[in-house]
Amino acid sequence: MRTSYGLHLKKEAMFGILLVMPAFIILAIVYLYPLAYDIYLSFSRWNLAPPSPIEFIGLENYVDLFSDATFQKVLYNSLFFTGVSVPCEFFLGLALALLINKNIKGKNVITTILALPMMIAPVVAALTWRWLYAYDYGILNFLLNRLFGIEPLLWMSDINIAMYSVIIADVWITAPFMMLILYAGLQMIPTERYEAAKVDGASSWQMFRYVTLPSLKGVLLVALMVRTIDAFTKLFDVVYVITGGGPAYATEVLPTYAYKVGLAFFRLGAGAAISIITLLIAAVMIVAILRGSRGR
Amino acid sequence: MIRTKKFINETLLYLAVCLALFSVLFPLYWMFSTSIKPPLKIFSIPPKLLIEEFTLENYQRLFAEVPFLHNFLNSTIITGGALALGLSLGSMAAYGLSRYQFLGSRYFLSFIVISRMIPYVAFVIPIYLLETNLNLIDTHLGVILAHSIFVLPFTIWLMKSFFDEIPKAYEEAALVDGCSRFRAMFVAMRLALPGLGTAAILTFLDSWNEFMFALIITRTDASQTVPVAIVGQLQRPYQVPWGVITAGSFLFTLPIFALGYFIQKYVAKSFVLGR
Repeated sequence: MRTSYGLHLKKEAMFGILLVMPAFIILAIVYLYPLAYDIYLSFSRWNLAPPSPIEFIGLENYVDLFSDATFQKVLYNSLFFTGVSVPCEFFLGLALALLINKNIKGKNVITTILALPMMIAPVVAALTWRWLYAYDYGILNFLLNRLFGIEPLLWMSDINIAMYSVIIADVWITAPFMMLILYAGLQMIPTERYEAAKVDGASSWQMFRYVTLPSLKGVLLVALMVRTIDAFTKLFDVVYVITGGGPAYATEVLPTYAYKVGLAFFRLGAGAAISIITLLIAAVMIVAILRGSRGR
Repeated sequence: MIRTKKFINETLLYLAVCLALFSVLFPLYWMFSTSIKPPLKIFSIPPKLLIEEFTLENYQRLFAEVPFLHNFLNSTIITGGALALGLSLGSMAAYGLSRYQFLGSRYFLSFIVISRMIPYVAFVIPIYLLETNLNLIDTHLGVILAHSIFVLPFTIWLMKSFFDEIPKAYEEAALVDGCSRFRAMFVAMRLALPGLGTAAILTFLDSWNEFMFALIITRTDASQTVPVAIVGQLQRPYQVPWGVITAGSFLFTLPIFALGYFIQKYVAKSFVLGR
């Protein structure tokens, strides 16, 4: 056996390569090449309206973007959105997870219903919210007025409100994701830990603080990281449908702006640079979250 | 005393559950109820909270004007194609990565892990240019390939963790019995069937609901998916046809309602298992 091992291994490796090759070829075409090309584009000037030949300009796109007031606004919007929506959906998700972790009747049905917003298409959810937000035909203004006497709001076209409307819709979509993940985490906590705490005479707050939270730490951290990165880099459908980035760039975020600059204004190089900046900031965020979690 | 406290706690608990259910169900109720109201009632001021009249007019308009059947078929073909391509090539590659080591296999694996954190927006412009050059704009294959950007890495990553759990002994036994390595792989595939199910249901969800790539690549009814088509209704002149939009939204979401219980189960499972 030993003597033929080397040859054997080579043959085996060939079979492994054979299996991976088809997937690798597809990914090389639709993933690696486009990603490399996007980086290259971000160092180039290439406008299609009016058409101009592609030319290498180094860091000019990046320098231009960071001195551009619109881009600064968009970058701030993305950070603001991430900073507000992720904590909201996190606490809401945690509350919902603790709720369905209790002994309630019809738990399976309730969990499935509560998970619906994250399963239906974001576009459908966004259209639904756009329709709820409508000014005079909208049910939200009507209900708020009848129940609380609040004057009708311009949910989608008031410059000071529009971003919060986007956030509310997005929290509605994503809090159930947090709920499911944290609920799965809660169920993995061994009951002995609670029993031991009970024997020691812990109050329900103490149990939550000293048993539940520490046991959830790993799941919590990954869920938070995934959602932070998603909120920063993947917010497209909801903004596109509800506000289209308006009014006056009040809700424009990095993904929608990259799309707009690249494929609506046809400034391909600048659009690519926006997407690469998004990628780099996300990478910094990941490293920071991982470092921060290890430090503790 | 203890009993009243327990009673109050229970009441508060169910009150919270009701509140949560209401905030999820009310927007969905409003979407559905709009779809079966006569157009005049949809745009009444103040809005009508309850359904007073029932009509299928919006659904008729949806099929006549959008045309919804085409879009639904496109969505089905694209999701089916993305799943077939992703699950077959993805699980093969996952098996190869789980069982064999070869030049670059480590790099490929770490690429798969990292790839899931790269924002999709980085592909918007290059994929559009690539597919323009390959004449894939406004084709089913064009969208299927774009969906491979997330379907393939996810399937490979998920399936590898399933294969890693399956003892090699089964395949070795098959090999001793004179099976080819290919046949031995199918022995492992059979055992990893629950994993394949999880991958199928989650990639179905992602591909079915996907909007951004479909928006970039599709142009006409030849390939436009339902999300692109119903969002396109917002551009209609004079008045946004909310009856048609909500009708389309409801029909498009029916498969999700049907599979909801399983999807919800698998989302958490894949998340906890994989990391």
